Amino acid sequence: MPVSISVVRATQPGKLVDAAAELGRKQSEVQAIITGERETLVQLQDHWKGTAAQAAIARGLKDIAIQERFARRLQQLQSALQNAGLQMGALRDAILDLVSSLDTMGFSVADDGTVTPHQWLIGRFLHSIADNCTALLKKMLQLFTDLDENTAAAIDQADGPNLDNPTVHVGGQDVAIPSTDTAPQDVEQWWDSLTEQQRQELIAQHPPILGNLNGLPAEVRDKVNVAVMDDDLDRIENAANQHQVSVDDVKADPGRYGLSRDDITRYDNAKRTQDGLLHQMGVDGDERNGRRYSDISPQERMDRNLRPTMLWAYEPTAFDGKGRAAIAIGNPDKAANTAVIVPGTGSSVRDGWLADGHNDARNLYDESLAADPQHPTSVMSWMGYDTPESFTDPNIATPGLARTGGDALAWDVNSLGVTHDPAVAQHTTVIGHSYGSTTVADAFARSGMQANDAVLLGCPGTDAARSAADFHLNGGQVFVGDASTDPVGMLGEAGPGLPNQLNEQLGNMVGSSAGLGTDPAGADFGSTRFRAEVAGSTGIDPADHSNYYTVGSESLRSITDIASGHSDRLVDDGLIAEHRHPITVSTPREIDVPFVGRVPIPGADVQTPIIYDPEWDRPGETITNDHKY
Amino acid sequence: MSPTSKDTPSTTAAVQALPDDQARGQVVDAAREIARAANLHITYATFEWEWCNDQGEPPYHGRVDMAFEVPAGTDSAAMSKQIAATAARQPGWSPGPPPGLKPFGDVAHKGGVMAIAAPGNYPERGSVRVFGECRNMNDHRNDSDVHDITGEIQNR
Repeated sequence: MPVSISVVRATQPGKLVDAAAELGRKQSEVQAIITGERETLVQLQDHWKGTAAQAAIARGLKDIAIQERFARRLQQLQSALQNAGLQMGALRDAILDLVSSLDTMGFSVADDGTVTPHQWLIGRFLHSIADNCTALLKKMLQLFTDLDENTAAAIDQADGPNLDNPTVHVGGQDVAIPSTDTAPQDVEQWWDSLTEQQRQELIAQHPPILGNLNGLPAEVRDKVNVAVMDDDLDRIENAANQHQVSVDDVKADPGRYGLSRDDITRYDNAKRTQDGLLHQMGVDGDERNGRRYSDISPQERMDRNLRPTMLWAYEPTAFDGKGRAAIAIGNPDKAANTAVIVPGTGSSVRDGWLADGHNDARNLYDESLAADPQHPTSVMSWMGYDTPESFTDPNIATPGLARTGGDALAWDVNSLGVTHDPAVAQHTTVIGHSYGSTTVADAFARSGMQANDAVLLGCPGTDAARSAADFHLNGGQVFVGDASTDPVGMLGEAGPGLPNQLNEQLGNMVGSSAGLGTDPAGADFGSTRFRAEVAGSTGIDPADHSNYYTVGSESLRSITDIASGHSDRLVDDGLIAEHRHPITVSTPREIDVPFVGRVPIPGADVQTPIIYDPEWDRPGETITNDHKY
Repeated sequence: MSPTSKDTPSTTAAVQALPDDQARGQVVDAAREIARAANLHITYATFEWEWCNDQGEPPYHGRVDMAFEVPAGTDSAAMSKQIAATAARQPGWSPGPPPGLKPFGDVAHKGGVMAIAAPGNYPERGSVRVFGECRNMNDHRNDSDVHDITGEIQNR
């Protein structure tokens, strides 16, 4: 049952944000203590040798690991509170604004969101306006209710006594699987401590937690996740077969067949994930309905030249049923170069992002293979966070989901360094598009993500990162791809007022208030901007927000150079673009005085709030001569 | 801010939409032509509608992916170069990508249709990808399945 307008009015989402800030301070204090302890331990290691010293230092390191887990819990809790405060605050404002506008226009609004015209307003069409507004208002109230419930769940999860870590019986022993918040290094140590028989038995039993445990090799995760996905498909299909009904019949009334709604969510997202694996490897869609991904043999993969896909993460019930999954093309543990693709608004497992026809990961992988056939880049489609639902979702205007997503992204990306083959050099690039680029920026600036290079595409702002230095890239670079005709990429820099005006003209495509921070394509950010103009574009076009992975585009060429560890080629390939910068107006430096001649005067350079994009003025023929390939 | 319209007279001419059969035909025909001219043994070929933007809004274009056999003892990188050169010699074809495009791989084009030959995912296989023009305006948002057209290409 949705909450009422009076309940919404009485809420104080700002208090959640305040509580989050307080927790943030506590977390910083804990982090400072941990850093101090680490320094002390390092000094001890330098000056105190021997068996007793080793034991003491090992104990110290273990204590620090426990404290770090506590600090991480605090950070998760802080993210949950802050996220909820920002989202609910934005939605509360939107609901109350709408109610107030309707009141001004002569409509009355009941507490449950029903809108009716006042009696003095005459006209049949007013009823249809009232009906439309009722539908909108009730949808917003429902969204507020959902947010409230999700927040409670997120806080419970962050605050919970223990994360799920079951005990399993393998190799004649009970073995406790580490919880998912265990440091990847510790997970790796645990895995290495098992016997080969225990490992094989664990894989055969495939407890779902195992496939998402950071610190385990990608090959192990893949086997476990595919087996769990098959279980999720079997559960419903077996019930349908046993009762000789269709899968749709089972989905319509799962209780009748001894199943739950949760089982249906698992089934639906297993289908979406399997579709993603088959699509990305390149298998015929008609075949998808008749066979399993797990049935495709290595021989068939070779014969049909199918891409080497792996299921790196799989949690079908995550994010309130939107699902979490990551598909890699090429093994990230073995490849010299790994690229992690982070999507933006409206993307989820449930909504089919892994199998849709944008082909982001396929195209980047294929290009990297063509660029260096012996060393293709492993490309991961990371659908690992809760994105704003759509361009009308108020969440899109707040960085809350980007920050929570940034924590999850950092946790996953940092683990890639732990499991990577030490015999192969490692270079990791994290690539975000649209809201996903804000998530990437937050992961670097707030969540301690460690990767070599960052690529931000069509970025609406970098939130916590004020400049490239905040990415702490240790020798790498922040690369930015922003078409001059992409309206979203302009939102960060343009200053207050202007972006909202532009956003309104575009139908609020980035939410009710625009801009998520600094524009990384700006002159002072410290990024490297590569060319990413859209073939045949003739003006600002919302569709130009999303041509960055088109095969043959200068953007995909640049991304491939960067992700395959050859960013130095951008200069030779003529792919470096000038930054956007404010237009400066200069007053005259001299004046012409009659009979005297030219007299010097003190001139001035005045910076205007107008941003100039040099890419705008590139001759059309240097981009392409038409909308076609 | 940048201006709201761009003065590029050579590119503003309205592009005529391609119906489904023509958008499909331009890539499938090109793929068959290359397979025949380069005498490729095709082991798998697919057609699909690929989005031209991330939002899945029109336009769309056709795309063919072909896998071919690399005979034992043959270098697949050298074979790719040979395929692109052979394609470029066919009537209406030219070497390299259409103006302004910069894909990796060995490339030839016929008008706005671009073919890229490259080594495959395995030493025994190579790949040719053929991309059509972004001129199909029908709704293929939820129609991104790949379709097996191996028989259609093999019966060239």
